[in-house]
Amino acid sequence: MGGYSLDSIYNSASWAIWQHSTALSKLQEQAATGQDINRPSDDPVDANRILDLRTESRSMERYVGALNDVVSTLDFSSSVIQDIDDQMIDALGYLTSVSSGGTNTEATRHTLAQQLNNVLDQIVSLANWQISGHRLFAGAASDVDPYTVERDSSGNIARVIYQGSLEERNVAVAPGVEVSAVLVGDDLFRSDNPAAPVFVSADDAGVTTTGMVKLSAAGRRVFEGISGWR
Amino acid sequence: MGGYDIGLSGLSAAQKALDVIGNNIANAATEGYHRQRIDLRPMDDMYTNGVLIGQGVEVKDITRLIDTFLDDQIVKQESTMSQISRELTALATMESAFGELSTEGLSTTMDDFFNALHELAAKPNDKNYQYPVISTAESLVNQLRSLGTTVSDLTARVYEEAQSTVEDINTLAAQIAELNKDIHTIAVKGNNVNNICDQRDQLITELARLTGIKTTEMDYGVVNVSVGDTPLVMGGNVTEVELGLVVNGNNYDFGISSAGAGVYSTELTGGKLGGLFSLNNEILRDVDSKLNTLAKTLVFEVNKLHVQGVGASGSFESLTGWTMTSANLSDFDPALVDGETIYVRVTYPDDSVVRESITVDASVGGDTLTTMAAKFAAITGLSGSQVSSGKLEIIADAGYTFDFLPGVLADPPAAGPDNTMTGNVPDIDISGVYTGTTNKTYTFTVVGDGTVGSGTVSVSVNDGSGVVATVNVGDGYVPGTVVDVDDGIKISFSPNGANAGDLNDGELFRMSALANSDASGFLAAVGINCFFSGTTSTSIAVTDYVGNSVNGVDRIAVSRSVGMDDNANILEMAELADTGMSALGGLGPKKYYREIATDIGRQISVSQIQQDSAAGIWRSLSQQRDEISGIDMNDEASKMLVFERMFQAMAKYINTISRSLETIMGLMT
Repeated sequence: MGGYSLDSIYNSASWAIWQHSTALSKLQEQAATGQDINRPSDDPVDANRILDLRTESRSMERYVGALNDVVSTLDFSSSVIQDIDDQMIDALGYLTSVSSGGTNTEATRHTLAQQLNNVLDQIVSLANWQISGHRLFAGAASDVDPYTVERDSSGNIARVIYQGSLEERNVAVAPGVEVSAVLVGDDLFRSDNPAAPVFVSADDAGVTTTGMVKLSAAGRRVFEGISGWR
Repeated sequence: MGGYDIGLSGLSAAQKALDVIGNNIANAATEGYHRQRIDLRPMDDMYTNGVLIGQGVEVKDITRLIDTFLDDQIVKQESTMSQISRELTALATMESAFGELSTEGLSTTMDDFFNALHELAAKPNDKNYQYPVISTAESLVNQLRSLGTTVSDLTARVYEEAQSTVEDINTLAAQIAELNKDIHTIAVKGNNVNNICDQRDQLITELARLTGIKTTEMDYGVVNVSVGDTPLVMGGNVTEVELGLVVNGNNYDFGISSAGAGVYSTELTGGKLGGLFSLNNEILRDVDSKLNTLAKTLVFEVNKLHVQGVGASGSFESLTGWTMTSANLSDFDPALVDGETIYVRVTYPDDSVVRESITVDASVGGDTLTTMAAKFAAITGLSGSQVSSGKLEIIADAGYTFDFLPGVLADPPAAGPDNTMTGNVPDIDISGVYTGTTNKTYTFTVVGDGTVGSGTVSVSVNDGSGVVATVNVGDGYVPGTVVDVDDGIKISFSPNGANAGDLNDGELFRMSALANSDASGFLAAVGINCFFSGTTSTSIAVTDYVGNSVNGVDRIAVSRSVGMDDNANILEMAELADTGMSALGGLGPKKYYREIATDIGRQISVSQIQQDSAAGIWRSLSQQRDEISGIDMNDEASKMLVFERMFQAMAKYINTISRSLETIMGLMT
């Protein structure tokens, strides 16, 4: 009966060396990368979860980016709307100052109309505002100005026409949550009562003017009645 | 004189024993050597002077200390380890090529591509967001192609290696047969064949590392060897084996057969060749098949949406598909849905729009590319459509354009069965992105009499299953006001020029709302308005049509409504990332790929466990074998002492006998 043969001693020693060198090289790799799992075969189940989480993390980064974009655009839109509101308040101021002055001459009324026309120009300009070529109030058609104006022979605004899109443009900001960063101007800047729009509240300004909403041959919405203010 | 004979027999036995011990020590490090042992036995007794006396010792045999069962088990484990080792090498190569966790693998590239689609959805006409879609798509297809190429290269290498392994098997078999012959010749003469048997058995072990074998021990120490059920060595004869390819569906399995017999067996396990069989017939093929499925499904699903949409460049004047290998629609892969309809929207020079339909006969003997081209050419405005060099070309006549936009048309159909409106018909405008999942026909019926914005009149909307909306268009309705109808569709009524627009009770018009303008899959299959091309992981590519650096990005089909200002199409393409697909076993592309990558890791992990287990068993068996067949120096040294002493004692004995005889002779003289 044999005991410790040369082969046996050699095999045992080489086996132990191989075992330890394998373990050592794995530890060295883990130390060098700072990671417990460096390839799927290290732990297939956890590797799958890591890959899933990495994908989710990248999706979240994209959602955060989209959300920041939407918030930034809406902040900007809000600021523009505030500017438009300020312009409207200016217009109210002009109207109030005139109405409180009793009888007005034609020249006074003409000046007032000019001031209101300028205000309207400003409002249209604000409503066509853009960031990096993207209009804020054109709906999905953000590469064209949403509002265009028609002027009379004196150069005053006769009609304002909405030529943007009636569709919003949704983007995903969270799983299953989509919002639109662009606003449909036609939804935003219109009377609550389009059948008989009131452009200035009688209670607030004491002056009431009505207008009409029509559809142009090109299917665009047209607000009329501004020239009647002169 | 008997004493001399006894002494000489002892000397001879001790000398032979020392020779065996010397041989053992000399081969202590020889791989495959089995320790030999001298078996001594007493010679037959003889009556000498009326007394039965032994006549010394003789060598009965010199035997190999071998446990055949144990050695067989070790050979089997060697064979198993060799197979697993070969599989592991290939799997580790694939895992490195996939590079998941260690580098930016395909999962990152896929994320980048789908994220780029999402970002483009936010700004569909912005070049800064269009170009990343193309660049990330290029990265995606390059990486997928690289993986596909790695697998196909490995498959090719496996074939070459299998051929070379079979040659090695035949060489070893010839050597084994030669040794079998020698063993038989020597053994028949009653001579010792221990060393030559060790040489032969060592070759059998080497053979087992190359392939799974079965051995059968015959008379005189001859061993027959077969590979699976194919005989390889029969005594001193060799039947060479050859590698063949056996058709298995669309693939080729490795098979092994006796050379020239042509009867190939694909069931081979064990050894390096077993590993190569397993790699070719299962492992690599499985990965290759899954990568191809992923590529094909990605191409098909993205294209299925892309063909229906339009990009910033709008409708088309011409579109060219890719070269088809077969003109018969029944041969297309993926298979087309027979009997479905393709809807083409043609814009006339006067800006009027007509939606035409083409029915697809994908049955055997049905439509061909040529008959389909003829169907397109039969549509007014597309008369130039044709097949050229195996490619379908849809060509609009001068002033005409076309597209495959689904959803609803902007205007009701011309007067006829589908439009019974009479009098001063109002200007009716339909808009919105249809979000329904099936094709529907909406019937708009006037209820009551009046004009737009006046009278007690409404429009009832029926989608075929019932009334889905009723729109007041009489008193209180402001002409031009857009009203939601159903599933994203909107409608508005306006005066027709100077006329207010008559609405008469019972009059109606019908509008088709398409969820899919090509449910047959024909356009995606022939490469019309496609984003990706190719059908396998090695052939997938971004089409030149959208990849073109001059104006390709304007052709990325972002919109799918007739207004062409929405982002519904690109958004839907982006959402494919996580959309379960039947071709992918209900998983989305990203998850499906993750399963492929981690499955390779899983196989490596399992194989490593198997290898560790086989190595553990091998080690244990080897230790047992070493205890039986290994050379223990201490043991041999102690035996050497025994036989040295025996030799010395026998020499002394002969000397004693000699002196005794001298004494006797002295007495006689």
